[in-house]
Amino acid sequence: MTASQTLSSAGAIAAERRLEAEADAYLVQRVQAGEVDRFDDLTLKYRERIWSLLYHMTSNREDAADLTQDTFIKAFQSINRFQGQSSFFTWIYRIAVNGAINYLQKNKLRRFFSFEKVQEDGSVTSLLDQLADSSVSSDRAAYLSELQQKLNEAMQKLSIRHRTVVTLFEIDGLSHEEIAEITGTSVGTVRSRLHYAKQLMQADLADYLKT
Amino acid sequence: MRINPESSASKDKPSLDQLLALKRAERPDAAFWQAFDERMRQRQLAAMIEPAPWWYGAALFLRRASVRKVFVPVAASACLALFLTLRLGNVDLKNAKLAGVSPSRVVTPAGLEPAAGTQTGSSGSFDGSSAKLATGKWDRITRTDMAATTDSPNLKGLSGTSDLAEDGKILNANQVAAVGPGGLTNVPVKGAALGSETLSTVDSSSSFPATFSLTAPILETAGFSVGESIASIAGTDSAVEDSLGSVNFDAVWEEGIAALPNLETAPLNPRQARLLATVDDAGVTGPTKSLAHVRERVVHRLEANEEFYASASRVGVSGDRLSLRF
Repeated sequence: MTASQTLSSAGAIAAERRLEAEADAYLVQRVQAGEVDRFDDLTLKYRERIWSLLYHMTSNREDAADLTQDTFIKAFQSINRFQGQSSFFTWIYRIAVNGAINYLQKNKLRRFFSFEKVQEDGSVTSLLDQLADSSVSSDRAAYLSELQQKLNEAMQKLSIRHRTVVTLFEIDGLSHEEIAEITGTSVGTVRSRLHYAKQLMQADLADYLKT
Repeated sequence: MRINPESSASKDKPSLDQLLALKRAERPDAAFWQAFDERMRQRQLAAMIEPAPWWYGAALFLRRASVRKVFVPVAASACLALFLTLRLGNVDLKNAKLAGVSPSRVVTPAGLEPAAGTQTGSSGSFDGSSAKLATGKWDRITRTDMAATTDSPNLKGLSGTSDLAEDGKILNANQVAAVGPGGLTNVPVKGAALGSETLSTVDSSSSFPATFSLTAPILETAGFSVGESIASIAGTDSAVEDSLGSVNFDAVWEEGIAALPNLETAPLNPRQARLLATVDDAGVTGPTKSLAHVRERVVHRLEANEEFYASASRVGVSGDRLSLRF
């Protein structure tokens, strides 16, 4: 991908986010005006992304579900205080991240992991086909499970803040600027944390990664 | 199954980005989202009917009132200062009240006059608690700092000289007063002056003459050691030792108890009942009960006077005030 393609792609994403933010702002205004049902549209729109973020931070699907619900309930209770200075997307992500950090700090010693199945869409299937050699392709599910387990272990070894940055950037695909706004840090700090976190994961998964 | 990393060539191994792409593919199925929506709906409804916490209302008020942020810590500091001022002022008031108690205001049970040489609260006599008891200030001592559980090793010294600390026996105010004038207060003992800490625990607003107990930590905190004081005095002054031995506390005790009218059990005659008017004291306890007791005592004394009885319609007692209605 050339530099111009990258720039155009980034521009397209930015335009898409802007349209999305405007649509969200309209829905928020309607909710603030008393149309409570409109909040369901916002919930439906963001629930999977919020759940995914929280799932990768907690590595527990049930905890992630509870935290996702907490996030939307807090947002609903505080919707009248939302003044539109940031996008609704950023605002609700901030609520989710703060809730997850609080939860993880309170439950440092009581952690249970429960993982979701990988939904094999096109990109994952081709990846697995590429990865699996003849010796393991006969039991691809087990191979996939072990890869998943190792990856989650490596993620859990990261600190909460590093894990947050990795999740937001690598899995949710947010930009450095958006992550900085959500986490309340500078873009430089985000880049630094991301670089450090990936170094740690590379070292931890050295046996399973391409050198 | 265990992956053997050596079994596959390096070119077949994934990169970290590819592994993270696997993470993106971890998604729950439709049944999960159905259950999620149901649960979410329930919690949302519950949150709608749940009352907001008080601080939320306060924050909303401040925001709507457009209060500048700088005013919030200023207001909080002012509230704190006001609270501390009132609280410290209250403590000083208590001390001032105690210091202002004069012997002329001392209440003693009928038939028992304070003995000569009675110690006053601040004259540095026997100890904090005995000074209070001896001067009859039992109606101004709070429940917690008053007298005597005999578990205290300091009080064991008293067991040989009086019944005040006998086998966990708890004395009521009348009993203590009965012992006080004829017994312990006549003993010219040395001891620490009434400590400020003891002073600060005296509270006239919650005073009462009822049953009480003195716990050891209170005495020890105040720095008094009754047993040691008596022992040291008895060892150095033979006259004191003799006087301690000559006092028959049992006799004084019985005499005092006999002299007290049994007002709680004595039936009221119609004249007394008329003066007591319509206030129902049933179920009243603590300090209020003591006031009722004082009121009955006043009626008991005054109803013998025919002229007074004819003119008075009601007798009332509130705090240290006596009121008559004609």
